[in-house]
Amino acid sequence: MNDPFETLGLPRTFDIDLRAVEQRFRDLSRAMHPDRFADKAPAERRLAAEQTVTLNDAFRLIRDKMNRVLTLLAAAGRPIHETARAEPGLLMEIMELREAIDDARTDGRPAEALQRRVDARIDDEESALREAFDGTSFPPVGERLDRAYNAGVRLKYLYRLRDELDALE
Amino acid sequence: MGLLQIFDPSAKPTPVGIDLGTTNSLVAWVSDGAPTSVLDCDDDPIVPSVVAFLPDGQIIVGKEALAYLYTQPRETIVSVKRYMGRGFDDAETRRERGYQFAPAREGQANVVRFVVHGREVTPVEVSALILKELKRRAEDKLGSIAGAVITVPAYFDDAQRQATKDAARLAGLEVLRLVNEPTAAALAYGIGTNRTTGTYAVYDLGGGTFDITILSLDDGVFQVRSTGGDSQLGGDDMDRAVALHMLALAGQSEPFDQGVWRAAMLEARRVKHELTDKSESAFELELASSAAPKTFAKAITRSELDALILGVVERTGPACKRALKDAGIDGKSLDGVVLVGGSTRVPLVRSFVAKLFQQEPLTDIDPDQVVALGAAVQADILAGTQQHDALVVDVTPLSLGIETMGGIVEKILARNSTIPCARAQQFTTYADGQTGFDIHVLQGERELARDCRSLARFKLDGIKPQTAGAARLLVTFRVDENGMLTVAAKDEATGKEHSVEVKPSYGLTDEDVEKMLLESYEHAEEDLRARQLTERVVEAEQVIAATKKALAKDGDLLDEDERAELDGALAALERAVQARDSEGLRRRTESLDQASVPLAERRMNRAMREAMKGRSVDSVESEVAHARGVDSHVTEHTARREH
Repeated sequence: MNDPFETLGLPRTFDIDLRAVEQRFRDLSRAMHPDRFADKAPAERRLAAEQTVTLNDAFRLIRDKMNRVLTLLAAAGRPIHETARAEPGLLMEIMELREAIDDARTDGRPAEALQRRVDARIDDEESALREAFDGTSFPPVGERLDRAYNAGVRLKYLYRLRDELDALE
Repeated sequence: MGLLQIFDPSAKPTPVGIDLGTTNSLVAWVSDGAPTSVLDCDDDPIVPSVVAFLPDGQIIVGKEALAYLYTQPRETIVSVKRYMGRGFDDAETRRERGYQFAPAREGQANVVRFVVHGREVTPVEVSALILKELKRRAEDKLGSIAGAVITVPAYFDDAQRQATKDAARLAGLEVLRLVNEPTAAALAYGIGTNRTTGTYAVYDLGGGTFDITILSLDDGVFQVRSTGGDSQLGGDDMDRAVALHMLALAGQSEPFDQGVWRAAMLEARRVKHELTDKSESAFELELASSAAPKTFAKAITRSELDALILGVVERTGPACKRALKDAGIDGKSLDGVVLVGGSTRVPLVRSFVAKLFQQEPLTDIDPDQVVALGAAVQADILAGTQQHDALVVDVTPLSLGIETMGGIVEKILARNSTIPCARAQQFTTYADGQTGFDIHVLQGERELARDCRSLARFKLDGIKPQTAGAARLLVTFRVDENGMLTVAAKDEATGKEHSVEVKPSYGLTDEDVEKMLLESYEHAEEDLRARQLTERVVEAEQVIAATKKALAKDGDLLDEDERAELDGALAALERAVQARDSEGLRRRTESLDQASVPLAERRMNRAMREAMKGRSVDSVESEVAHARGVDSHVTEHTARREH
């Protein structure tokens, strides 16, 4: 599989400048989108379509945070498998938060306090990823990688929780 | 307009853009860089999407067909677009008053069939008649035409898109691309008003469909961020609400006489149009009765109209909010809201949009023409004439998934994925000796298969019987530039392509369309063969020209042997063109294609390197804080599979 960071010509970092990435995406689209090859030979048109599929996929994987985390960890040799579960402590915490969200939904109450709490938890976990994938050396090893992996597993739950909170409005 | 037009026989065929609308259709082309609609002899660009089938077999399309709405309402088809890609059992089919539908029959494709004077016609055939009329108009004006970009609602599903393509094929039109209506409108806006940057919403409320699209425009790239809508919502629904109200005032109750109902619908539309500028509009209903026809007359005020259609207008709200959220932007931060579609002339719609997006919408370009004009620009771009340096990057409106155990849908491609896109998924046999898979593909956002729109069943047969889990197939789901799905399967062990049989849930099969083509006398067999030869010659000439151009520019990328092979293949194809040998053309075109692969690859690499060099990605370390909305949104709920 193509490495999405490589496809977009970016360093493998957790933090990205979304505007710059979008700019790069547009520049590459301009160079390889099939529409730019309408009057070219069929072999070039096919190639353009294939490359664009790869480019679009790379953009999708990097633009979205959870996908970016999964991509980085897989590239570092520690993929998060579908069956990966967070430790019981976090699962309890998630369940408790989810109940609170349900209550807020049924009462039609604003969930600002909940939102702040989830955001703070997310910030915490993200810092481990930020540190492991800071663009200096890749792949991270030892404890740095372990911490990043565990943070990635937790974020799977936490991002989903934040989506649910966002849907409350 | 001149009385006589003389065409230069050597003139290049013109690519056209077609807006195949629920109520009205238009065709446009680009003339000296400016998109222009084709006008009729009254200088009117609009062809009403109405087809009348007369008892003597005559078929009338457009303005002249409108007269038959009163005299033969069942055989005069309006708003056929609402039936495209729909089945006999769809709620929409059953809701419509005024037509006679043929009953569903076992073993027949699940499509709507109108009964007209004892024969059955499908929506695809009716749409093809409208397209033929547009084609005829364009040819009268432009001589020969070189394919068409046809617009579809962004929210059209796969079956609806396929039906549109089938209609074009029946009409003898080469489809350059299906383009989403709001995107086409944005293209016309961007080029027509010289707007070069910013994020815009396109609110497109037509006769029968509603789309909302959020897109950003940057240096000629029109990038769609999100889209949403309802392919069964539009001005027709307002007319229906008004017609029902008028008939109720007249003391009529269901079921209505067909003619009375059609007349009421037309009168309702007229009243709605009149209330755009006036505060009150008088109406008259002819109430046919067996005893004596009588007339009922009364008036409707603007505020009465508003109350009647409020429900319809409000139904557009949730899709707008979701599209904004998917794009990670709020209404007031948009640089503009563009109104498209005839229904956006209704004052209530305008005030609703202004309130929803917290800004006054833009109406600089005629909302009835803007989609066709944009389609013409895209056709011009795709024909390679390069009068405009614009690029459209669009998305798929609906999530695509497959049915898994227990009727649960597993998402494969999320909505708002940039197209073209593809995702591969591994399938393994779960029983000993299993020789096939049945993959049920659905479109929609809901979690249960029964709540999503069934798209097709793909059958993979002929797997060598082995123990469970031994056979592995890699199935690739691909959404192309037209927003349409293709499925390919490959045996992982052998790398061999595996055939996939497609059974569309709604719509005609390829064979159905083929049969319809053969049935129309214009496409008798010799005709087909002559056409095939012409098509192959045209294709070969295009490939030759493209290859020579590529060689002239980047010939240095090939070594001597590669160059010799390519030159040989070129010469062979040129000879086949001279000989007008159909089979030879097919083979030589293919050989040239093979021989041009190395050049294509190297040219592509060169182009990509240059694109990367163009601008450096600065400040990658700092995350733009306010972009969180866009950034965190598309989180997929199904974990990514390793493949």
